[in-house]
Amino acid sequence: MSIIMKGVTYALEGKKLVDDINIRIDKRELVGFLGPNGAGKSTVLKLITGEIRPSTGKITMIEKDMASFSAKELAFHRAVMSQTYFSTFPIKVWALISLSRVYFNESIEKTSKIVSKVLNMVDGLELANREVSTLSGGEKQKILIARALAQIDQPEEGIKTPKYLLLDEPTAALDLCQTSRMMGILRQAVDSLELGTLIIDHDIIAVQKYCDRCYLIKSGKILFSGSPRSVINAETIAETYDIEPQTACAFVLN
Amino acid sequence: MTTDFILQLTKHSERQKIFILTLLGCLLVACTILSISVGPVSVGINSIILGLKKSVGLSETIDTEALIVEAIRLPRTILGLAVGFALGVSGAALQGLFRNPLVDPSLIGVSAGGALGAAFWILIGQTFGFLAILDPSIMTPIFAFVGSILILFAIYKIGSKSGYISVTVMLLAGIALNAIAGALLGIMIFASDDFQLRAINFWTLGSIAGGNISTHAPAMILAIISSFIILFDCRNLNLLMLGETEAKNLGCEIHVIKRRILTLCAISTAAAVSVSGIIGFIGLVAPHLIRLLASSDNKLVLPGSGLLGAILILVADMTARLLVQPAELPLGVMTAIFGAPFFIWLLIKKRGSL
Repeated sequence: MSIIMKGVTYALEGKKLVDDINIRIDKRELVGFLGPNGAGKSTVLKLITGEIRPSTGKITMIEKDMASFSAKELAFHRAVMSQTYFSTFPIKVWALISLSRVYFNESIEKTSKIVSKVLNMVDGLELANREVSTLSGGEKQKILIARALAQIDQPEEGIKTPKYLLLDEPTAALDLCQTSRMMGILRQAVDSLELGTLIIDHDIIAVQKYCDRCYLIKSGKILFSGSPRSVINAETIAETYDIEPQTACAFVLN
Repeated sequence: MTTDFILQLTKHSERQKIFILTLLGCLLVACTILSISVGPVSVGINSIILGLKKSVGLSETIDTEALIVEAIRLPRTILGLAVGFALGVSGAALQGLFRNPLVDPSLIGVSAGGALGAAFWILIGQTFGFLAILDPSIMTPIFAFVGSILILFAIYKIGSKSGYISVTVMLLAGIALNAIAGALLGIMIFASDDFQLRAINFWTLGSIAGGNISTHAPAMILAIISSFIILFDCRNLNLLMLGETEAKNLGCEIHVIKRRILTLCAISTAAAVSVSGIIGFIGLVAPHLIRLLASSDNKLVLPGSGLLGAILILVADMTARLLVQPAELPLGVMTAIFGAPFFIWLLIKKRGSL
């Protein structure tokens, strides 16, 4: 019960953005994805979300080809949190989160229950009736994570359908304290809801502290993979990001 | 307690929706009765009922006032209802689809194409004697409809590549094709005689005064039915407000939905414009008023804009016929006089966020 990418290459106009990549995300696992800008992190995310299709190779979710899922089935199994949020027209926080349940055909009582549950999880219940455009960057990020969690909430208590969470820099707009709280919330959600979670991040220390496994990617190729303890050190970070090992020390937990 | 809080917010907004739609419905009924009643000759309620009975074949006897109802007021009111509803719903749907608060059906070429088609028929229908046997009140709408659809199709073709629709390209193509259509219309105006010029000019100013149930029925039915089907996409439009990628991630089959909404808006506005001429600002203003009044939830904005669009057209039409009676101002002039200042007010209010 995993998301598996096998030998995936994605080329655009002859240029390989992602080159022969193998990745797996298992349930109840927080997988970190590190790499410099332009390394292909976002392309990998787009491949996993089904937004683009691989040129060669195979991506499967729950042992089914990714291409065989309809948009609705995908929405049932995985939630995506992208870096940007934009809405032309004003919308309230509770309404925004409710939108993630639009296709579930459930009663408003059920939806409301889930909305308050996820808002509680991210400690954002007092934001429920605010206009999304009036939120600060950090508050907005909390709401977006809450929305992703609402989308993959289990249909019924006790049932554990495979669900995946794909996050693109979830802590980019958060300060130190908020980051550690958010990662704590995520860790808890991953464990209690048995989510398979991928986090694309620039925060190496957060990945070291909270992730079960991680991948280091550079120029579309995976350089290192494994547990953060075995993979992340000054040398590997220096090689991935093209910096001196002495400089890399400053960004890595020892 | 916390669960109740969210539930209360949800239920409150549901109640608000029902309240506003009911209110708009009542207003619309009142406007409809008023629109049949007021004018150079005021018609009493008894004559209205008599005229209504006559038009559905329940009564044979008729007096002068009832005749006015049956032959003039009722047809123009029904035409106003259909056109207003179609423009309101399409305006709201297009604003949601393009995620752009400034979109109006005319921006995607409906008005320009319609004017071009209508002017084309007015020119050739009058120039070639053998075409005079065809009824212009049927032929002009047909040509206007075809003109609108052709321009819309051209914009769609430019804006889409192997099924993928680029909203920005479509909008820009709309601006370019509007300019081309305007230039062609200019050539036709240049080539027309005084009588044709008046007819073209009258068409571009828009009017529902010539409402005729028997000749306009197909266009009205088409406009009403297609805009009614758009209402079923309100949930999808809510998701599309968040952007295409977000909507897709939340389970929305965006390409299918975009194509469907565009087609339906094209048919309903082209049909509406073909019988009423160019009536600006209704499709722009009605959705914004609903959003200001309540929320941007498309479950409310779509039907609300339809009802409000019909109300606004009837009010503008009544003003147009009362202001300079027994003559009448063109309806398009009225909607622009009221609509444009509102649009400017909206721009000033929103200029920080645009």
